[in-house]
Amino acid sequence: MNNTAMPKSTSLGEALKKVQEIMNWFDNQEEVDVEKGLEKIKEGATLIKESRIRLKEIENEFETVKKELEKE
Amino acid sequence: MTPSLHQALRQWRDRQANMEGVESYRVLSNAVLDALAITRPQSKEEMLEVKGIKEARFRKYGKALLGILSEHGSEAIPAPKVNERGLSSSESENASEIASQEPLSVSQFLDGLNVELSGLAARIRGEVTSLDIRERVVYFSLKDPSDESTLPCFIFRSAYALSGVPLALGDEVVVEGVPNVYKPLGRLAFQVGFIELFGEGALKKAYDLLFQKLESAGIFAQERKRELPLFCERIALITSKDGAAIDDFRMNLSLSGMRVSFYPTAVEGKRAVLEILAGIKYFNQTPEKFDALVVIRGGGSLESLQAFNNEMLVQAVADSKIPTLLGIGHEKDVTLAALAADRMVSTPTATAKLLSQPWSEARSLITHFEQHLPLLFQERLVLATRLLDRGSEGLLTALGSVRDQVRMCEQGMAERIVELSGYVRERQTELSITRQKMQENFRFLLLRVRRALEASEEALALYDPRRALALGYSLIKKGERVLKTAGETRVGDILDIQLGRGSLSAEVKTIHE
Repeated sequence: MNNTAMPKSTSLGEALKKVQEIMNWFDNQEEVDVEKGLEKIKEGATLIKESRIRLKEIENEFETVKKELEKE
Repeated sequence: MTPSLHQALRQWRDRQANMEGVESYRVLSNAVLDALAITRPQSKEEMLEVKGIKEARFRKYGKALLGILSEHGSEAIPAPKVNERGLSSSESENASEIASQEPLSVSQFLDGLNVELSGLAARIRGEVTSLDIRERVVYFSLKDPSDESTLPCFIFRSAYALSGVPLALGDEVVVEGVPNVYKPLGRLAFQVGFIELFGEGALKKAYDLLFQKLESAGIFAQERKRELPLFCERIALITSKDGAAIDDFRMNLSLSGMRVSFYPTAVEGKRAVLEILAGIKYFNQTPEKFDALVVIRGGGSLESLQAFNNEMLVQAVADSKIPTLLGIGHEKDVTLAALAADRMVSTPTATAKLLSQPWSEARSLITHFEQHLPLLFQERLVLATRLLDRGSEGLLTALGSVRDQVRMCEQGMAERIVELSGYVRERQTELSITRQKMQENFRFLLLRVRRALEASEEALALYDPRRALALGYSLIKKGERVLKTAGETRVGDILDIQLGRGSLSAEVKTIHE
């Protein structure tokens, strides 16, 4: 499975949360700080790209557990 | 080993375990099966050499095993007389042989009988009429209400606990097991592997009772519930490998690269509790490897869902270290196991959708982000430009006003300069007038001084002694001293006498005072 970009499921959630925060930052910014905005948009773009990789439609893996019930 | 022999042994073993209501390995382990298939013992002696088979086990299963082994024996090996120590199963065939056989010991006979009886597994319904709960075994009797027939039964405590049905006198129950003769007493009893309540009414009653018990123990408490991870990737799945549940689940699971470890179990009947418990235990050996423990089953009647209302199973779900998600279909009452789970839904499809939903939502959220983030930035830019425009306007206005002020200052200064130069000119005129006056005054003063000098000169000339001398007066000095009286001299003194012109010295001859 290709999930090297985001090894943990939490990091996807965190990435989404961070992008949401960036959106909120833009929404709530009273003063226009273009430089900071540019920084934020770069960060957001990276996060989106990483999330996209993780959210690609990948086949699920099914593995049947070999029962290890055999005991003496 | 022949695959078919191995398979036959395994099938027999599993069937036997099923009949006895125990786990397969309790009948024969895989290792013993393998050994049997390889060594192919054809007699009791040979079989007792197989590790894992001792006298007791041989008594119980020896005959059946030798039967299978001889059926699958190669033709070169002559089939031994497997029935020689057991009971004949076909009387007509062997009737004449019996008479000629050595008599069996009682023990041998009962062993043989028990082997035969073990093939008579049954599911029996009856009313509990006696009950004796001992430390390791529960003894009870089942009565047929129609004609008072009675069957003595017993169940080991472990199997009793697993069944989750506490027996009480008067209960109508269904038991599964095999008949067995207890050798020391020669008494037949039914060895029960599993007990179920009979009838929806009884099941409902038991369900309600257990619900109350578990609820007061806090098993269903909301505070116990854990959140499933937002993005479940590693899923421990327990369900049947057959049936619609697994297909529904797979079909509705979004393609998110999830890793599903599937532990197949029965989901109905007496095996279900045992196997699902084993599955929960198996996954909980490495809880860190899984995001969610998922147990699913299609819908069914209260009776068919009994496994999920089993106290031990409910407890195991509640105790799972992995967050649990149960998707058990039901008609009326939610299964107690589902109530104990951290999260429950009512179908396998809903279970898969619940796991997939965050992924789909994340996908649309990301699309939304992708579209809106640049727009937001653009908006900021437009705003910034507008602000800059407004700023520069302000700046220009400010500059204009500065320029005006400077101009006013300049004007003011020019005025001041004109004023100042007028003043200076005035002062200059004043100064030159003053200077003129001073010069005049000075000249006048000089004149006066000169006149005064001239007057003084004249006056001085009047007092000049030389004028008197010229007139005939003389000035007599004794040394440097001018004499004014005769007394100042003595006779004989030499006096200097200054005249109008020249001087002389004279000696005093006489003095007249």
